Amino acid sequence: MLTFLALASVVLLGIVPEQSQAIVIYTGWERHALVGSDIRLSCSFFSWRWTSEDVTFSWTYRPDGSRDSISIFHYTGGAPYVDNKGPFRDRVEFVGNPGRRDGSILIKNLDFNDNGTFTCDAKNPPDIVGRPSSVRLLVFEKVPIQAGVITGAIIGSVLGLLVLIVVIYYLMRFLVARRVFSLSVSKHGKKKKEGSQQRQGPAPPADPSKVKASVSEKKKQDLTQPPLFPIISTLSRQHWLISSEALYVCAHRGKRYAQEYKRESLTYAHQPARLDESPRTERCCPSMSDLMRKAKYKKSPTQITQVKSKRFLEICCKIGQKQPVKSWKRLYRDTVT
Amino acid sequence: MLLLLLGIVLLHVAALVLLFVSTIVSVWTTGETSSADLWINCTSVNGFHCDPASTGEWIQAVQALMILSIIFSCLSLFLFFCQLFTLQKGGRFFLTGTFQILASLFVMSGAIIYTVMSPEWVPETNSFGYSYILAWVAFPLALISGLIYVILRKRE
Repeated sequence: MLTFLALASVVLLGIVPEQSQAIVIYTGWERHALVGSDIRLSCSFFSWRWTSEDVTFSWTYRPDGSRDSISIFHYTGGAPYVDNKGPFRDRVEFVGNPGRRDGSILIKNLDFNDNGTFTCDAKNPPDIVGRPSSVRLLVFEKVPIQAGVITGAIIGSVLGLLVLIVVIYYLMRFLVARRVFSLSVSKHGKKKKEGSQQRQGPAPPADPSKVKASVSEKKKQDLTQPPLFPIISTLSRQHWLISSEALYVCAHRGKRYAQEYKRESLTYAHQPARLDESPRTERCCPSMSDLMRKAKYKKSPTQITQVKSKRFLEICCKIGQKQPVKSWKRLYRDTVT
Repeated sequence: MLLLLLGIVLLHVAALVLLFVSTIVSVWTTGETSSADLWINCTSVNGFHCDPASTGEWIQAVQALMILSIIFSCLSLFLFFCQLFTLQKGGRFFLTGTFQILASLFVMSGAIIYTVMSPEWVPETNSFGYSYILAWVAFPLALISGLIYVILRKRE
């Protein structure tokens, strides 16, 4: 029994190492190259043994459509031997590292006649049983484009352009609103100073309404000038007036400005509506209800402008006061139906 | 009003269906033994078998243009329904019309490129198939549909 086991183990031990002693060679499967270029054909192997000093690499070449193969490279005894008579003379160079089990060669200045199969065979004594591996070389005049690359590129670029245009459009709208808001704030501040200087300058006025009329006239002149931002000036005057007035009120809370806005809106916007005179000064946004109620008396143009200026107001209120806009939509819906 | 809306949607859907059929069905050129289109070439000489289409740049451009036109037409249908509910009264369906007109332009470019390159791709014995004709029919349909959207105003 014991002897049987011993014999079996010896036989097994004898068999297994023999099988694992096969050398495995790796090269590429196919290589593409352009005419006139250089190509590196890589060849490496795997072996259970240490790399010996007698390791050999040999490359053979078989042209397309031919059955014979010729040897073009051999490495043995630590020295490479390249082809000096065949079709690859002076074109083969050894660029491998036998110590690292790399037996790659470099073929220079390719031509259409170099189409064919290159076979690499490596031996690592005593590990010599192995199958050579082949790589196929294809030489092109110009590298063909793979199927679907251009299709995907065209589709991707057009859709990307579309997304870019949408993003830029929304960005511009947002930036315009911010810019108008800041411009209106600065402009109204300047006008306020001018107005107060005018009031104090001349002798005590006989009629307070005359002074106010002159002030409002001056303001009318200023208000008819559109702000400097070019995009706003292309919008219609009424559109700009409604949105800028609302922004003025929004920017400067205060009873006086709310009332001035109401008075001025009577003169410029040509609205026949009656305005609610009760002062609402705590928040800038309630005056929007004035705007909306005013709009009820007018037909479609104001509605269009109020839809557009609603955006401005939403943004202005968000910027100026950080109020939630949910109440706005309800207010809007209540006042304009 | 509802009838008008239905008619417009039907026209749009018809153009879209034509685009789909033209792109997917493989009959841009037909011959006695072979048929070819943007994606594969099939011959029935030695038993029926199909090869993938050549990988030239122009055929890929035609493929891309047809697919883009389908995408834009679908987008414009979706946008039409969006704008139907969100547009102000008296407003125009500019966005929908723009996308539909762009889709028709893409179909036109694709069909023109195929026609110009046809001496190379379509052998003398073959003739143009019905998918090619459908592509040419889809172009004016989509163009008319897009123009209607641009002119149409939202009422009620």
